[in-house]
Formats: sequence, structure tokens, C-alpha cells
Amino acid sequence: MSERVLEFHAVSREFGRGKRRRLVLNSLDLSVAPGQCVVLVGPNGSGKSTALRIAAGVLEPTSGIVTPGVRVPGVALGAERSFYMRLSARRNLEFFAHVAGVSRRNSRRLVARVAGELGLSRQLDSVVAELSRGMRSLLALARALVFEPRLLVLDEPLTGVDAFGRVRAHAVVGRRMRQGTGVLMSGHSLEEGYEWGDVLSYSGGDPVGSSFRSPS
Amino acid sequence: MLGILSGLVSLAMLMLVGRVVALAGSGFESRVGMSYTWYAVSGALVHGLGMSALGAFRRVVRREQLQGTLEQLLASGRSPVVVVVLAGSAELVLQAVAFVSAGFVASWVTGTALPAPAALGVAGLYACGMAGLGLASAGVTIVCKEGEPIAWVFGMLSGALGGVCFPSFLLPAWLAAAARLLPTTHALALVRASLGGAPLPKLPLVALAAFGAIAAVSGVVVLRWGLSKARCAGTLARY
Repeated sequence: MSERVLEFHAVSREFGRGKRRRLVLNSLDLSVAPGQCVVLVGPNGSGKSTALRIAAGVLEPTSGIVTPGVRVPGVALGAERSFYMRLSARRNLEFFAHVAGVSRRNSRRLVARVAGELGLSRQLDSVVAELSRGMRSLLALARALVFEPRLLVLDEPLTGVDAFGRVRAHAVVGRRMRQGTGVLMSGHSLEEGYEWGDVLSYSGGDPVGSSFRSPS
Repeated sequence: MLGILSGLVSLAMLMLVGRVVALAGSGFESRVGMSYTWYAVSGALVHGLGMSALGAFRRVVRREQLQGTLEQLLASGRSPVVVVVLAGSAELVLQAVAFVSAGFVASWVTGTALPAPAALGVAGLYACGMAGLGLASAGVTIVCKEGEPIAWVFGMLSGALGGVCFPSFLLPAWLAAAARLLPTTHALALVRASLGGAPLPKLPLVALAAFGAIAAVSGVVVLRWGLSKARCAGTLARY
């Protein structure tokens, strides 16, 4: 069996108790190989974000086995509320890189590089609160990329991003994939999913208790 | 600025109450060994420091939840307990510096001798113990989201019984016995003894050190429990 950067085996997740119990993920199997991008596509409430949060390690599955192949994934789970709003974009990126284990000196270099790649260099010294929604989405992607992880977990990473930003983001993530980085991400449409890589699409019917399968 | 202003107003009020106590006779000073003003100021400062230390980690956890950065920090691969401790420590140090500075300002305003190094050491030991308990408070906050009982119980009992504004010998015997279970009582006894130039009594010192050790261990255990429970329930980012 080839090396995997992430594997889910029969992963299920329920929320609530008693009558309010709700099955959100139902026995999901997936694996991400180095250099592969797996996109979960489905409507709201189909469990995409839940699967990604489990992959990021911030949510435990109710049952099933998650085998992470990397110690720390690069994570972007929501751009709107995940930054220190009164600090600059640069300080935010450097801080999160440092928390992920990058030395202060290296973090400056890596932040400048990833910001340049994503076209964020001019926004680096703006406070995050002043950035547009699209800019914050790109900033969240930059934060996930900055410490060069071998796995990226991205929840709808390009929400609000303009066409130029999308092209840049595709190029940057594609480059990382060619270097062996695996990607697990979510999207709303099959077209968007196929732009990125291999699609696991929502299996249809009521989102409650759904899971994702390769589309026929 | 508003905090400094309200601190100065509180100091003025305590000085006025001190004058009232002095007018009533010299019984208080001869029994306690210091003026009422300095007694109450030292009580308010040490109690305030303890309460700040108790709430430091809880405030940080709540702030990170509000900002949405808690999940992002916990996805960083670092130990969740280390993340919370490091994030809260900065707040703790800032609060400690603020309270020590307030102590020096108060001694200058009231014309009392500067706080002795031993008093600062005892206050530091007390703050560390309360910070340990604060870890438990943060763990409970992560699970309960609101209505955290540890800080409420310790805050209320310490303020009422710990000898902050009046000596515990004024309490009924059963309440005075309960007061001896509070770390604030021992911390204040030690701080006031060192301010008065007396040698530090051993029993309160041992009690304070034991409280600190137990609080730190139980704090880490409860915080681990809280983080694990919230991770299982999927409520880490909720507040």
C-alpha cells in the first residue's frame, strides 16, 4: 500500500443527544496520497466541514478510524473569524507559523514568500479587520501554506476571492501538490471540484446521515 | 486609563474609611499592626491580583473562542494545555505588573514604606496558585460556556472571608475556621506580616505552597478534561 497523508476508515459523526441526535457523517472512507487533491462536494449540511474538522484534529469522530500521515496539517477552516483582527496580516501569519514550529527568522522569510505567491504582499501590513472577505480567505490559505505542510485541509478556501486571486491560489496549491503535498478540501459544485482534483461527491437524498462517494 | 482612575478613586475611599477607623480609636492599629488604610489597600491589591490570576486563562480561552482562533491554535499540533498556558501567561504577567505597580503607587500616596521583597514573593506564590486554579476554571468554561462556578465561589468567599477589608477575628468562629481553608487568608497574613517587618509565619507559608501545588496539578487535569470533552462534543469554537 502506498504512503498516505490522511486516511478515514468508516468515519461517522453524530451531533446532539436523544431526540436531537443527528447523523452528519455516515461511515466515510477516504484517503489522500501525497500530491493528490480530494474535494468533498455537496450542499450545505452534508457534512463537508465536519469531515474537514475531523481531518484537522479539532473534532473527534463518533466512530471510525482516522489515520493522519502527517503531524501538523495546514488548516483553513473559515476565514471570517479565525484571525487576530487588530493585528496586521503579517503579524498573524508570523504568529501562526511560529505556533506551528517555524523559527521567528524563518517565519519572516516564509511569510514574505507565500504572500508574494498569493498576491498579498501589499496587504501584509494592513490590520486584518480592514481586509475584504476575499483577502481574508487568501490570508487563511496563506496561513495554511506558510509552514509548508505535507497535508492541507481547506474548507471552501476561495470564498469571496476574485478571479485573479483564484488563478493565483490554484497555481500555488498546484505547485505544492507537485512537491508532494496532499490536499483535502470542500466545495459546493462538481465543476469547482474537478478544477482542483479528485471529487468525492455527496451521495444524494437528505443531507442528514449523508456520506461521500466517487461520482459515477 | 479608566482602570487607573477607578483604582485611584478606590484608594481615596479606603483612605477616608481609614480616617473613620482612626477616629474610632487606636484599637485597630494596635491589634493588627498597621493602619486601616494600608490594611485594606494591601488586602484589595493581593485579592485583586489573585482574582486576576484566577481569571487569566478563562478570559484568554473566551477571547480566543470569540475571535475564532482557538480551533486554529489547537490545530497547530502543539499540546492544547501548552497553548492555553502560553496564551494566558502573557495576560497573567501583565496583570501582575499592573498590581505590583499599583502597590508602589499606593505606598507612595499613603506615605507607607514600600512593599518588602518578601511581600512581593508571597504575592507571586499566591498568584501562581490561583493561576493553577484558573486552569481548572478555563477547563470548566470550555465545557459550560457560561456560569463558571470555580471563579465565582473562590472570588466571593475570598472577598468576604479572606481578610481583605476586615480581619478574620471579627468573624464568627465557624466562619473564621472556614476562612483558614482559603489561600487568600494565608497570602494576606504573610503579606501583612512582611509589610510589618515581622518574620514570615511558617504555617500559612506551607498552606500556600501546598495549595499552589494541588491547584496546579488539578488545574492541568481539569483543563485537559475540558478540552477533550469539547473536542468530542464539537463545541471548541462555541462560546
